Amino acid sequence: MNRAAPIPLTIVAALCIGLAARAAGEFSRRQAPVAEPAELVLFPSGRMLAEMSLGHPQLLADAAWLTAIQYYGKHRLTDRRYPLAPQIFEVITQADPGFRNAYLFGALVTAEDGNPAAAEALLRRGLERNPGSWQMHFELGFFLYVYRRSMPEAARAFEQAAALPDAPEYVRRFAAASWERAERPEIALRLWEEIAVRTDNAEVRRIAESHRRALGAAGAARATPDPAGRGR
Amino acid sequence: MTRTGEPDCALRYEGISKIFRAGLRRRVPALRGVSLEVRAGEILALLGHNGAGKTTLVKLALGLLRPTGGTGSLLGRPLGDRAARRSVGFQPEQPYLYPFLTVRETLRFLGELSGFSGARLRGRMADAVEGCGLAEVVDRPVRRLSRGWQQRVALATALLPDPRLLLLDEPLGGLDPDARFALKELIRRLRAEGRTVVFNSHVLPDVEQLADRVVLLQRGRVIAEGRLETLLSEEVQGFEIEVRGALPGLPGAEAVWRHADPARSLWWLPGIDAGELQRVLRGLIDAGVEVVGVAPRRENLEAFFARVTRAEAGAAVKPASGRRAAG
Amino acid sequence: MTPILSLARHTLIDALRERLLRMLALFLVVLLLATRLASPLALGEGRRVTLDLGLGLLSLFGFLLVMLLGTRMVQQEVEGRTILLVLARPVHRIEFLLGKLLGLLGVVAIGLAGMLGILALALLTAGYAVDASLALAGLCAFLELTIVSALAVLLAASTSPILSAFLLLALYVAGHLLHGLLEMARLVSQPLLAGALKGVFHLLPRLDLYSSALQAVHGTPLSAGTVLWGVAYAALYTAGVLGLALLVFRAREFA
Repeated sequence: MNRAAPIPLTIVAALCIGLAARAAGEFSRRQAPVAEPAELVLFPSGRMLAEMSLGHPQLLADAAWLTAIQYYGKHRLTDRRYPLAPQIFEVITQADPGFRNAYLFGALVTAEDGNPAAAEALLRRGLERNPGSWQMHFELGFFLYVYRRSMPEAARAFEQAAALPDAPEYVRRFAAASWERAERPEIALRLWEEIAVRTDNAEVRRIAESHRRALGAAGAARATPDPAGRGR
Repeated sequence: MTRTGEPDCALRYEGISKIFRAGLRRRVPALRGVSLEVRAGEILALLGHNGAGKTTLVKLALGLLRPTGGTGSLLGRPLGDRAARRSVGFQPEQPYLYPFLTVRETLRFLGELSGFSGARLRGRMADAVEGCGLAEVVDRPVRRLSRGWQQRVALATALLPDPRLLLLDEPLGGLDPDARFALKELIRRLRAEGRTVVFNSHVLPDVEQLADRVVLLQRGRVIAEGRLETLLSEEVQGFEIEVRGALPGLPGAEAVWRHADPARSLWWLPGIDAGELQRVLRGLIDAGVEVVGVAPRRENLEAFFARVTRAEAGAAVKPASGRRAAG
Repeated sequence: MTPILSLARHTLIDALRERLLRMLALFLVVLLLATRLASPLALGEGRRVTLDLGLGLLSLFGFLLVMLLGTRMVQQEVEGRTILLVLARPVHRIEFLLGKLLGLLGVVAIGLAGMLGILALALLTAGYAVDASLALAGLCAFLELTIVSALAVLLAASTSPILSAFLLLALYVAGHLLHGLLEMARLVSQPLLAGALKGVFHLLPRLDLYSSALQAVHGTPLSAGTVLWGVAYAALYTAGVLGLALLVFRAREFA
């Protein structure tokens, strides 16, 4: 067997590839500049992705998700504009309607781009396709609370989330607080009473009692007749 | 060095070991500290059970494997040396050939790889075809040849480079009696031409007829080495008696062969001495049986092989008792 | 004939014997006929559609050819044990690899020439002009496949046919998507990471350059100088990859 030492061979191979890189640079430079294709211009529709997937739409949705992340990351580091976000996340969620994080993240990105209407539409579509998900209701509530400042709608969304199985305790607190902001103290009072009764956490009970007392006092101050009948 | 300046030693191994990896942790030692020399112009037979290391030794010589330890030389150059391989002919244990090539195309391709071209290549091809009796099948695709023919083609490829050293792995396997006879004659002729032949074989009678020296390997070690006459026991193991006429049986004897017409048979009487032989012969004559010939049988290679390989592993074999004095 | 050319001729003849090649050829003819059917629908851009589809198929089929033949080349000899016959002879391992590569390139060249001929015929019979840019496109496709063939030889010398095919496909895809890597290198802030990304960029085969060059059939033709740089890149990269292949192959043993 030939005993050519591996080190010279490695050096020669590395040299060839290094020189090849230089040649590639020249080859590239001398070619006519090709117009940069429009970004993601050939992104297929979600339904087409699902059809193409041969029974694995989630897989193609995942691939599209990775492209979406790259898109977000690239623009996050540069111009912080995401005009294609609604389209991208619609494609992902059409291909895989159960991909909850795509609705949530997509809505955040779209809202960040100054398009709250499209963000809300994406979330509502997520809700339609995932009615049993407390997270979808909660995120919609959060979106309505922060972006649209629509307290009654936010409160309703939080309450719907709280009513679903597996919803954590804090969701009800969000609902109660939103109702307070929505100037519907009677609903907020009911919710705080429920929280105070249901919780095992002493601190949460203390907070709930505190809100209940404050709302009760405020109600009395508005001269509501016989408030004592409620929640006892 | 010989008169022509070639090394006296065609192939040499010094403390060669080879360990194969089987999986992540398991190590399989195929050769353990093998040292041996193959002298130029001799016929050396490598013997041993399957897995003893015979083929591994051959492949180390050709550079198909690298030794884990030890050194060696091939025709005076390092093991596996490319220049040395020009003068080596190799026939593997099976006829590994390209199925879709004809015999002629096979020889031409491998001849080109050996560095031949033009008239020299055609000459070498003609010699190999003639030497292995392949004229009638030279334009047939290899896949249409029987195993025996393929074996001959494989041998022809080994002869192509006009080699000084031939490494033949089971060259006689799969050959019919005529082909075996012709190959044995060829091997003797090669030795007469001053070439060196190293071969493996499980057909021990053929080894007895051909080999100048044998090397017996067991579990990667050399356990016996030398000329047959020094290795085999001189002790008479029994007698063979050939008779003419019908003889259904002979007490204590084993029929080696029988012919029906005319009626002849050969009988082997193990473990009897001269006195007992006399009694048997007298008995046959008295029964009217014609005794044609009597011959003592000494240890043959098969018996030696069985005796030695049953001995303790790794112990060197002492020369057999009663050996003739060297000379 | 030198051992390299003998091995190349042997590899070429062996490959041409494969029924698969005939199937691929038939499939290609059928698809090109389909192109003929599609061009009337192209609203006056029939030549462009025919050319683009034809060149696209040519690249794809060329790659499939290399992948199917090249990744099995070494293992076939190992499994058939004919490699013992070859390497027992005074053949250097690099001669073996070079012979295999040249044989594979011979098959590629014959395949590409055939496919280009069919494409030219398809254009002419449709009444479209055929000019030298088609031959130039063929050259670009051949140079790209030279690089892919070298990678196939490296993988064939290193690992099993299935893994080789998978890795070759991955390298082929990566070689066409390199612009993303360079862009990422420009955006990351850590110099070490940016350097590593650029290193990977240069290590991977720049197959995208030949795809870009293929598009020259529609526009400005490539100058001789540009083509020479393309040849230089293919030659140097191939040499580097073969060096790596030899590093791996010289260590292989054949029990």
